[in-house]
Amino acid sequence: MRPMLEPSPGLWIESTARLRRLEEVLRSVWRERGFQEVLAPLLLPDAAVEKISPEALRSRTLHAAAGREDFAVRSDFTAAVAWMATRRGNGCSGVQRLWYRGTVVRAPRADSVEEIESYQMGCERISAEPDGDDEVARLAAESLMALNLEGSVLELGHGAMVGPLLDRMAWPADARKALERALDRKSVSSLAELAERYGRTAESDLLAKLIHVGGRSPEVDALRPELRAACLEETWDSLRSLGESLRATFPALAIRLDPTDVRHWSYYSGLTIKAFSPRHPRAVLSGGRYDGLYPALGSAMNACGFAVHLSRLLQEVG
Amino acid sequence: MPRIALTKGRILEPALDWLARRGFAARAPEADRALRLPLGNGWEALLLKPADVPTFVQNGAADLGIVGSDTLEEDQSDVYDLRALGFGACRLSLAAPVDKDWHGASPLRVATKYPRLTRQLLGAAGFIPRVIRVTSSVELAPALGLSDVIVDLVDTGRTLAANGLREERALASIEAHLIANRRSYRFLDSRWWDG
Repeated sequence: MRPMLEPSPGLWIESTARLRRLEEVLRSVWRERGFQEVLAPLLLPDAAVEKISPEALRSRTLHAAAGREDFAVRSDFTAAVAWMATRRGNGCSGVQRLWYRGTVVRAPRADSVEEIESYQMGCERISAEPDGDDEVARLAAESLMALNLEGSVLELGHGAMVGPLLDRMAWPADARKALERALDRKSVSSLAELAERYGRTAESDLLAKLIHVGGRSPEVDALRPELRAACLEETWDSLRSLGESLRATFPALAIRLDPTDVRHWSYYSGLTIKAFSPRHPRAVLSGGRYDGLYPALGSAMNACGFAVHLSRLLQEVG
Repeated sequence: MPRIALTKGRILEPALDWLARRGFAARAPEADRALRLPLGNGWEALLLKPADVPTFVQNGAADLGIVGSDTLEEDQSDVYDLRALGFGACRLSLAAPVDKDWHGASPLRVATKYPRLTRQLLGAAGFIPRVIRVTSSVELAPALGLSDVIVDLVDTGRTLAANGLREERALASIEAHLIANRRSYRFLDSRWWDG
């Protein structure tokens, strides 16, 4: 027997109407800040996606054959916007502020309730200089407030804080992969096992401490001598200063700094941003700085941006 | 209501003891087959099969979970692995029939509930296993010709011995871990994993 979708027009109409309301709220905030809408392609050449997408996303990208070329279905807006912007010669000078909306499609995971297709809106700030972290982080905070997500946690991390520690550890490639996985899961015990197997270093010790203290800034501050020795103190200070400025402007948000909570190490080159709401099961906003993306497509530009996961906002937890 | 997902079976009792030491009214469920257990302090425990604990936690149906590191490593779920809890210790081991030499088997056929971990751990030990996934009674597989050896959890070794098997090589130490989803980690008191 074929499984049938029970018609429930009330549910669909209500969800669509809510989505449109959320969309309108964000559009209004972003237009006010000088961001312009772009229509990013739904299909991208496989070769471009291979070149610019993080490995974890590539593994969940769906593909379609069209004519003589193979295409990847958009699994992430950042890559789609970058591909389009570099093809059109956008952003060759000055600052480009772009926003987008639409669906992304990812291969399902058996253990996840996430739909294959999800709806996002996001913005990108593309510039010749790697600047504008402050502007993008503020816009993320403003977006949360406009969506009535007071009480949410806005978390900042930094790819250039832990990335250098990983790079300095001369562990073999498979150990590096396991190490990234341990960091992604905040698993101090896995990190300790890896250090025992591949050699404990000052970097592995510092990573373990940073994972352990998580987002508790005073405890990261207590690690200053070690951060200084690892040439990371300046990065931590810039993150801390951005956090303090956001706290002062957005007291209804909990601003959290967690330098180790960065996914896709090779992708994010600087600031990372994510937000969690107590009412929603997964991150409602995520993004960061990915300065390697445009150069990989042949453009000497830098970019920082975030996506709001609107379809996640339609799911609430009890 | 905040919820913690617990594993039915051998680590349930020590998990409830661990919760009781943290001020929760945690008692083993009566024989009424209830799968939700009030814990006091506004919390509730969910009693699940091991493989379901990370799924409930990852998707926000539970905030925290207590699960063996075997399940955690096998499933690679998108959860935080916050701390080892110091109970539920056992080994993931290679076991073989006492009356057969398995060393020359090529390919080495291995029955297991843990295909990913088995490939990884036996691969690191220099084997190229042909993995046969089973979900229960794995000890039967060699005797019935389904496999040459098995990889499974071993505590006392009595189940192995009762089925004509012997532990040949411990591949990994296993114990219970506390896990959380990405949202709950940001909103719960860190004393859950620090203390």
